[in-house]
Amino acid sequence: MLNLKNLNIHRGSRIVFSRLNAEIKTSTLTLIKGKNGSGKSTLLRTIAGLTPIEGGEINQNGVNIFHAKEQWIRKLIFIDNKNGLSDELTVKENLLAWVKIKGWDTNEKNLILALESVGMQKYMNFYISQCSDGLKKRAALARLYFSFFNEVDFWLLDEPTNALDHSSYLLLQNLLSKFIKMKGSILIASHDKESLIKNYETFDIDKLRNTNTI
Amino acid sequence: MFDWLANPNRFNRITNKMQPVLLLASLITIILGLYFGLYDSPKDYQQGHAVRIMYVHVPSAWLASGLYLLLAISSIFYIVWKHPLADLMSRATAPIGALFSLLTLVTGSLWGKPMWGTWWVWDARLTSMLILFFFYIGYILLSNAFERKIDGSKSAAVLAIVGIINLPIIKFSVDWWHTLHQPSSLLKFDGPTIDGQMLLPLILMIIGFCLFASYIIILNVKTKLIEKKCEALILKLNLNEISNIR
Amino acid sequence: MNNKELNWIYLFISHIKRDILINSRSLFDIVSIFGFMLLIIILFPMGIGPIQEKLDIVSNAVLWIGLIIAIIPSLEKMIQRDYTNGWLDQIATSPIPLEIVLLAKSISHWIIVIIPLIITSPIFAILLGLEFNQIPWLILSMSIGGLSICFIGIIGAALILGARRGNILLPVIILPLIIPILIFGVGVNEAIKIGLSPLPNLFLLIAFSLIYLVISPFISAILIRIAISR
Repeated sequence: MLNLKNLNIHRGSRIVFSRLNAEIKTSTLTLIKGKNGSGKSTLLRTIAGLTPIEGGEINQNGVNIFHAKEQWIRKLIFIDNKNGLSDELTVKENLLAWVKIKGWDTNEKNLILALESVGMQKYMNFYISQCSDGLKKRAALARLYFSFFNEVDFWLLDEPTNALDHSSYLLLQNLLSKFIKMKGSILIASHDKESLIKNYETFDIDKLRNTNTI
Repeated sequence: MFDWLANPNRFNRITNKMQPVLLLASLITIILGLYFGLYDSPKDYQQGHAVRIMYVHVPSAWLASGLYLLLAISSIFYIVWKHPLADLMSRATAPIGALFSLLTLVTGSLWGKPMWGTWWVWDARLTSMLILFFFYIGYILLSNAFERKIDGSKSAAVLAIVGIINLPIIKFSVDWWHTLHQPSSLLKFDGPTIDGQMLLPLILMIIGFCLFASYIIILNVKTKLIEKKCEALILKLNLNEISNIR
Repeated sequence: MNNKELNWIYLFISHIKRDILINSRSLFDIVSIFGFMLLIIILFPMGIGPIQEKLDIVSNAVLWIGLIIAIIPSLEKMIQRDYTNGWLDQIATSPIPLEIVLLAKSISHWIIVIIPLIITSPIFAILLGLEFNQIPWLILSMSIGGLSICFIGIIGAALILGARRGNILLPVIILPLIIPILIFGVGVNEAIKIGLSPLPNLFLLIAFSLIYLVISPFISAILIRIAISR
């Protein structure tokens, strides 16, 4: 459970949330819903430690997650629609560079397995500049596979289904349910009504705004 | 002290009382300074009446450097404590500082003509002042270069802090450069040792300029405060309109 | 590798390798920087005239100004690309400190952009008729000066992240900061030319670089964190 207490979040001079009190269920998939501009992405970026909190705190099991920020960050994977892939590197080189900055083991076998998990083994020597949006998204999602042999508790995914075709959608579902089975927590920001897996929780920002006067 | 002043209402209340006093005091000291400077002081035996430019040149040079220090300090306040008034302070100070450094350059050039026979000489002090002027310009350009004002404020504040670290190095390097290329300068910009009668108007002018600069900066901050309020109001109105349409 | 004890030096070197790999895929950029510097240096004799005595007076300054102006447009790219493609977000959500990445970035920029210019600088020196004994000192001073330009440049690139017309703004912000490098750098070679010891200027140049080696990663990290939070 993530407890959001009196959370104030600003983006530039715009106040996105003020005194937000809410709970986000963990160890399951939680779908963060909301209109465009409702603050879904900002909330994910805040939990990932990218956007600073102006006031309030986020607690996990009563402990402020940013008190040991480095420990917290080590245990999460954040992917948004910017993907974080360099045009000049190949799919595989991108993944390798990413695994390195995470400080994880970079053996060849795991890389190939990760690429296979999103069906990218055929494209692993393609430059990102040659890839379509869907392929780029899959190249980014290949990172998720590394949580199966490293200590990762959280996936923060911002619109992960954008540009994915049906077969890769199924592959993503696979990854998600596998991670849930491992007691991992997944937060997905999406305006996609369709549920990615069967059992999931929702976190509706629009509803919160109406009841909570945030 | 800054925290206490940082409340905009309190700031307005206090400065409302201060402003007329500052204006009056600065006018009196500047008029007195000009009287003593232009009329009731001896002319220099070498430079003649041209020496009187000093009474404007030296105070503006002091202010131009002093205001950069103020700019850097308020920028540090802004970066560390994130108070919006510190940002308004820097934004209000920068153009004034730029103007004073420009005034220094212009008067320096006017003074240079009778002294050296040319409008511009690569004197170490003048060159440093020119670079300081560019720092001010860089600050002003950067603070206005962003879609959202707050992004510009943050970036420009960091630039001002980098500037205050770098300026002493630049000053040193320019002096170094100057002695390297011109081992013995014939005339220093200070002129010969200053006579007591010249000192009085000089001090009066420096005090007058300081008072005047603080008056203008406070006025500038207040204008920016009102501007900010207007922007917030317009934003609110627009939002209301949108919700009415809905 | 042990998960808890990250080897920062290993991460630092692997990030340098990554940046060099990226830049080596766009070798065209590096060639065009070389061409730009060559053209700047050719323009001076065109403007001054082919008289060697006149060129001798300005040759050191021309080389340095050519180097500085040729490098400046490339500085923006140090951060801009990785900011827009989201790589810096990934860095910020991983255990590697941002400061280390930024230091790696300025050093890899030095290796991939400045070093080629310095290796080819004897060509420029010959064009301007420098004495042969000056060339080693030119290479040495330009390497150190170029490194500190990279340190300052990464601050500049971070300052203009997200600004309108940042590419025009960058030189206006950077050039005043670079003035000491120009003065000390030219000083080294001028001292050699008139038979004095180049060491005072060289030490000042080194001291200046060391100051920026220390402060540049921290200041640019502050700026990147601000830019990421938008």
